[in-house]
Amino acid sequence: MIMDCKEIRNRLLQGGPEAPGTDGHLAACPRCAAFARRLALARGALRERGCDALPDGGFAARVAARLPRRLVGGELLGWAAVRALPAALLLALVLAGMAAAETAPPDSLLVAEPSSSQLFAWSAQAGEIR
Amino acid sequence: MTGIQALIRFEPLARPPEAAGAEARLIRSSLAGEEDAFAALVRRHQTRVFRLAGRFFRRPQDVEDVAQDTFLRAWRKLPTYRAEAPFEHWLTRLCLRCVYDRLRRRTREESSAGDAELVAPASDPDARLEVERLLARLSPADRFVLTLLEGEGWTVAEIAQRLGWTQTNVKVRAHRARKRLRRVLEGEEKG
Repeated sequence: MIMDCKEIRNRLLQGGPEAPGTDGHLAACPRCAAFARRLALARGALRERGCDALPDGGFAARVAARLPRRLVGGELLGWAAVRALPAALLLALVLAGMAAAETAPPDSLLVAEPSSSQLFAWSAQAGEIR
Repeated sequence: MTGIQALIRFEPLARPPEAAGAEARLIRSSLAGEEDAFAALVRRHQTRVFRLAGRFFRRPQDVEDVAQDTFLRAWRKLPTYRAEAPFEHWLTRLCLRCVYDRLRRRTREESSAGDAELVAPASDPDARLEVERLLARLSPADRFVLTLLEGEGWTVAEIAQRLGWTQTNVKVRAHRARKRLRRVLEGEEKG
């Protein structure tokens, strides 16, 4: 069975240069042979990419200089309390607001002063009753 | 197996028990906030982290930055470390994630600037430079996955384990990366 270029290239990509069944096609197809060469070079480049940098004697010190302080024990509790302070204040504000809303405002306890028309109507009613 | 593969393979290392005990003490002290103990941990693992980061970057400064990021992240996340797996495996995962994050952050301009420092090996320099130019067209995420697959020779399962990704995620990324590699290599035929 003769494989087409697409299948050959898929096999090369999946299986590497020794992908089975590709030799015959590569010998007969210069374009796929060129593709296989480029792919092999790309794989070689991927294996060799990068640099050989190694840490110098001061690396650990440079890392240590950048470490944020780790809080332990009582410090952690203190820090947690500080972090909780805004939430506690907010809660206190909300509770105060709720308490204020549930208490009737002083004005609402006063009886409104009747208007002159109301007085007139009431006195007229009083007259009728008598 | 390449030297790097041997360096970062995940099988338990034949480390003497006293060395493992010393490392566990350093970890405990670091958790208690002792920076000297953590610096000792850094010195133990810095070469491994540099070599791993060095697989992905050409500029030594990039490697140094990633190595520093790795250890800073380790310091922050140390309370989450469970001693079920060796510390170096945990550190390898952090390092790979730092590499990946840095590659993703890099802008296209930075990548182009990086291409200028490509150095071709003595053998067939023209062909190598040409391939480097082609690889530079891939996205950093694609190069990351291809470096692990093709460069390190890791399997999908190994990559998933070492990065903490699902195998499906790795398969999808690998498929896309290979597809783009193919497109890039075939693009040269048409050009």
